[in-house]
Amino acid sequence: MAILEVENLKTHYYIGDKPVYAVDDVSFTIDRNETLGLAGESGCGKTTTAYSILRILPANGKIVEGSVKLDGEDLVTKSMEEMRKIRWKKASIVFQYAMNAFNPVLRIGRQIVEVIQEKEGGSEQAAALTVAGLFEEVGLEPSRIDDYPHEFSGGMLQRAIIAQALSCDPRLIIADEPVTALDVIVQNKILDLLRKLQAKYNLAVLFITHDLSVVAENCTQVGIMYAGNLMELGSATSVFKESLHPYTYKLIGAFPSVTGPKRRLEFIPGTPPNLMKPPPGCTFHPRCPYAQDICSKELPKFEEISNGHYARCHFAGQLEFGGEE
Amino acid sequence: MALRTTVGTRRYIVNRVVQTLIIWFLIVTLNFIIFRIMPGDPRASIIEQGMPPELRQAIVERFGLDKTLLEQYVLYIVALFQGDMGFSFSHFTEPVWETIFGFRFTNTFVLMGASMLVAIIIGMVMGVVAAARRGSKIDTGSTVVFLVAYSMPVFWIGLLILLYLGFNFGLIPLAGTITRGVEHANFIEYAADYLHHMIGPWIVLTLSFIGGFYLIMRDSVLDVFTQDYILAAEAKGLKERTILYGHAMRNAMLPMISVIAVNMPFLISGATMTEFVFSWSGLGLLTYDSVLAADYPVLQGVFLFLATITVISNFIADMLYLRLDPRITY
Amino acid sequence: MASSKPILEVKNLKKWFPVRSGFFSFFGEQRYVKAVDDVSFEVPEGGSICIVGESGCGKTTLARTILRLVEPTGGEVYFEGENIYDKTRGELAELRLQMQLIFQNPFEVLDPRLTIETLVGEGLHIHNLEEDPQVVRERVFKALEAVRLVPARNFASRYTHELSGGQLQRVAIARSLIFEPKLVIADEPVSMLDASIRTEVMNLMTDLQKDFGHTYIFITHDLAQARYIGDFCIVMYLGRIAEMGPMETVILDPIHPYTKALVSNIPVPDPTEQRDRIFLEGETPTPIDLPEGCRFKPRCQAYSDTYCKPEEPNLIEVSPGHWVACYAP
Ligand SMILES: Nc1ncnc2c1ncn2[C@@H]1O[C@H](COP(=O)(O)OP(=O)(O)O)[C@@H](O)[C@H]1O
Ligand SMILES: Nc1ncnc2c1ncn2[C@@H]1O[C@H](COP(=O)(O)OP(=O)(O)O)[C@@H](O)[C@H]1O
Ligand SMILES: [Mg+2]
Ligand SMILES: [Mg+2]
Repeated sequence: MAILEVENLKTHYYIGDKPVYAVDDVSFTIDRNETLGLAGESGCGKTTTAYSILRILPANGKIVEGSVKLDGEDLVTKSMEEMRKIRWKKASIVFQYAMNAFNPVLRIGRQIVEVIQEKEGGSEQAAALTVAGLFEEVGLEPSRIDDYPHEFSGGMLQRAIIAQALSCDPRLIIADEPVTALDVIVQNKILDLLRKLQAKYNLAVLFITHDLSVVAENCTQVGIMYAGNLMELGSATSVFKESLHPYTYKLIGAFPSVTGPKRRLEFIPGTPPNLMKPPPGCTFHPRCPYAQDICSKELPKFEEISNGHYARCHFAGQLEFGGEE
Repeated sequence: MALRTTVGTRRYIVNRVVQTLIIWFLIVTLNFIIFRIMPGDPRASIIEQGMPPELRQAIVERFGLDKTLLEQYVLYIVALFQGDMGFSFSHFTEPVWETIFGFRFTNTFVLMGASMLVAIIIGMVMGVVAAARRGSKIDTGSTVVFLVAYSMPVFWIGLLILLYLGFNFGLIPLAGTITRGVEHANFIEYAADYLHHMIGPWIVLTLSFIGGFYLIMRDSVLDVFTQDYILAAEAKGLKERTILYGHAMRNAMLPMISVIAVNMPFLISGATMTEFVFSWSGLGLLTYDSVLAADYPVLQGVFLFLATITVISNFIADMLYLRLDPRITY
Repeated sequence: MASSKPILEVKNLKKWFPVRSGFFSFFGEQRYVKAVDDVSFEVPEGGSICIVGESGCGKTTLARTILRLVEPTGGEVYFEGENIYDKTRGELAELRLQMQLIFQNPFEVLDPRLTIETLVGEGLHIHNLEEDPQVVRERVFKALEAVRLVPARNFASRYTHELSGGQLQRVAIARSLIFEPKLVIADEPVSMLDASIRTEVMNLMTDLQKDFGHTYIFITHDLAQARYIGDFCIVMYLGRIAEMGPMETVILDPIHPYTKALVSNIPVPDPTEQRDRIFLEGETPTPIDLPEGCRFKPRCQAYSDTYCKPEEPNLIEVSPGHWVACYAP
C-alpha cells in the first residue's frame, strides 16, 4: 500500500466568496522509498497541494473535495487537534526559504528539541542527544547545536531543516522547493543528502520544484501541474522521454542543458490563466498548439494511457511531438 | 542565556555606556541653560515688595544669583555630583534632593511601578490573545475597550472613579496617600491604609497605560504571524500555546521594549493629572505645584530626573535587545 | 568573437567595499569585501558575452562599476577607446545613454502609476532628446513593436499590473532600446521568469541584436542559460575571473577546476543521463580575508604544492581566445 494517496483533491481559496481554483482535481500516490517530483510553473498550485496534505492552508483556503490518505488514514476528515498530532510525527515539510523557517531568536537545537519533546515526549537531554545524532547524520558539527539561525550559512540551514524534518521519524517528507534559493553546487549536496536519507529511512518524498532539470535528476516519479490541474503523471523516464501532454513536452523543451549538442529551446506563447476564471475545457487549450474544438469545450479526463502513465489530454497518446512549425 | 561577550559586543557595551554618559551630561547642561533663559524672574517669587534691601541682598547671595552664568554653571555641576540640587523656593527652603527623593519619589515609584507592571502584563497577554483570534469577539471587544480607555482623558476617568467608588459608595478614600491623623499600630496596617488610598489612582493609571501596550503588542504579534517560522511551527504540529507564547510573543516583545523605553518619561509625567485628581503626593503633583509656584530649582530637579530616567531606560532597552535578539552582534 | 575591435575594455578593475566594524573602531586594519578584484576583459563590438558565477561572486558589482554607478577602487574601463572614469558628470550622463542596464526584476524599475507609453518614452524627455510628442509616440510604438508587444497601441495605454512578468521585462527592454544604445548590460534578465516564457525573451533579445546591432553583456548565475544566450563566457569566482573563452569550449571542455566543478553540478533535464559530479568542499565564502595565492585553493582538488605558486594565478591563454587562471597543468 502506498504511503500517501491523494485522490481527486480540490483546494480553493476564497476572495470574498469568489473561489480561486488553486488545486483542481489532483490525484497521485507515493510509495515508500519513492520520490514524486511535482513540477510546474509558479502559481500552478504546487504549494497549495503540499499545504492541503498537512492541512496548513491559510484561513481563506479550503479543501472542497477529495481525500488525502496517509498510511491509509484519511487526513481530510480529521479534527484540527488530531491533525496537529499527526504533523511531523507522520509527515514533515521542508520549506523553500530555510533562513526563514527557524525562529531567528531561538537556538536551532532548542527548536528541534522542542518539536521532539512535543511529539515523542522524553527528557530534554534525550532529545538533545537525538538532535546531536541528527546533526551528525546531515553533515553538521554537533557542537553547533546551540547556534542561532543567522550563524549558519544557507546550505547549513537547509541541512538543519532536514535534520528537523527527520527528527520524529516521519513516513513522508514534503519538500517544497527545498533548494531553489541555493547555488547549484550546494544544491546538489543537499539533494544527495536527501536521497541518502530517504534510502536509509525508507521515506516517501513529495518533491516540489519549478525546475525540471532538478526533477529529472532526483525523482523516480513525476507529476506535471498546470493551472491547478495535474496534467501528466508517470515514471520520470516515461514522462521525460515519452511525454503524453503537449504542455509537458513544451516545458521540458524549454530547459537548457549543458550537455550534448545545442538544440532549439522551446517556449510556450501566452501566460497561464487567472485561476479565478480558468478557461473552459482544458485549462491549457489557449496556449496549446494542438488544440481542437473539443479542447475548449470539454475538460479532458485524467486517464491512464499506458501502464502507470497518466495524462489529462483529449489526444494523449495520439500526438507526434517535435514535428510542428 | 548569557550575554554574548564577544570582543565586539563588549566594545559595543562600553561605547554605549560612554555615549549614555555624554548624552546625560549634555542634558544636564541643557537643563541649566533652559532655566536661565526662561521668562520670569525667580527672585520675584521669594523677594517681596517692601523687604529691606539687606534682606534682598542676602537672599540673592544665598541662592548664588549674583554670580556670573559660568560661575553658576560650574557650581551647579559640582553641587550636582554631591547630590546637591539647591534649595526649593517654595518648600521652606528644603533641599531639592529631599523634595524629590523624599517620600514623593517613593509615592510615584510605587504607584507607577504597580500600574505599569499590571498594564504591561495585561496589555501583552491580551494583545497576543487578540492577535491570535483576529477578528473574533474577543479581539473586537478588547480593542474597543482598550481604545476607549486609552483615549479618555485621565482626569475624567479619575473624577468618575472618585465620584462613584469614593463619593457614592465610599469604597476608596477621596484624597491623599494615608489617612490623616490616624496612628498606625504596625507596618501592616500602615501598608494596608496606603494601598487602600492607592486603588483609585492605580486603576486610572493602569487603564490609561494598558491601551498603548495592548495595541503595540497586538500589532507586532500580527506582524510576526506573517513570518515563515510561524507557519513552520504550525506545520510542526506544536501546540497553539507553544506557538503563541514560545515563539510569537517573544519576537513581538522586541518592538515593545523600545516603545516602553522611549515613552518612559511621558508615562511618568502623564501621572501628573492622576496625582492631582487624587492628591497623591508624588512627583507629578510636585511638578504641578512647582510650576504654579515658579519653584525653579525643583522643576530643574524633576526635569533632570526625567531626563536621567529616559537615558537610562534607553540604555537598558539596548542591553535587553542585545540579550533577546541574537542577531545583534557587534 | 564577432569582431576584433573592442567596444569595451575593462582593465584591472577593482571594487572593494570596506567592512563596517562599528564606530569608535580606530584600531585594527580596515578589512574589505573584495567584490571585484582585478578583472580584465574585452568586449568586441557586436558580440554577446556572458558573465557567469554563483551568487555573491561579484557579477552585479562588476556591471555597476563598469557603468560607473559606483566608483571603482582601481582600474580603468574604456568605452569606445575612452576611459569612462576620466569623464565629467555631464559627459557621463551622455555616455550612459549609450550603455544601458537591464535589471532582473522589472517591477523595481517600472513605476506602477505610469502607463507603458510614458515608461518607455519618458527617457527621451528626461534627456531632452526629443521634444515633439508625436515623434516620441512614434518612437515608443516602434520600440514596443520591436519587443513584439503588438499591437503597440493597445499596450501603450496599459499599466504594469495589467501585464505579465515576461511582458514587463520586454517593456524594460524597450525602455532601454529607445535610446539605441551601443552596449546593453542585462543583469539576470530572465531569472525571475518562468521557464516557458524565458526562451521567448531570450530569443527576442538575440533577435533585437540583429536589428539594432548593439553589443550585449549578459549576467547570469545559470551556466545552462548562458549557453543559449551568449557566444563568449566569463566564469567568475570570488570577484575574479577563473576562466573565459568561447561559450561552447568553456561549457563542453572546461579547464579550470572550478569551472569543471560548476559545469558538472548543473542539473540536466534528462533522467536517463548519468553524469559524474565533482564535489567541492564547503560553500563559497564571502570574499573577505582571502587566502594567500590562489583564492580557490582551499576547495581545489587539483591543488598541489609542486606546481601551484604562492601568488595569485594570472589568466593564461591556453588556446586562441580561451583564458584560464590556474597553475595546474
Ligand atoms: N491565500 C491565498 N488566497 C488566494 N489565492 C491564493 C492564496 N495563496 C495562493 N493563491 C493562489 O493560488 C494559486 C496556486 O498557488 P501556489 O499553490 O502557491 O502555487 P505554486 O506553489 O505552484 O507556485 C496561485 O494562483 C496563487 O495566486
Ligand atoms: N554595497 C555593498 N556593500 C558591501 N558589500 C557589497 C555591496 N554590494 C555587494 N557587496 C558584496 O560584494 C559581493 C558581490 O556581490 P554581487 O556583485 O551582488 O554578486 P552577484 O551579483 O554575483 O551575486 C558579495 O559578497 C556582496 O555581499
Ligand atoms: Mg510554491
Ligand atoms: Mg547579482
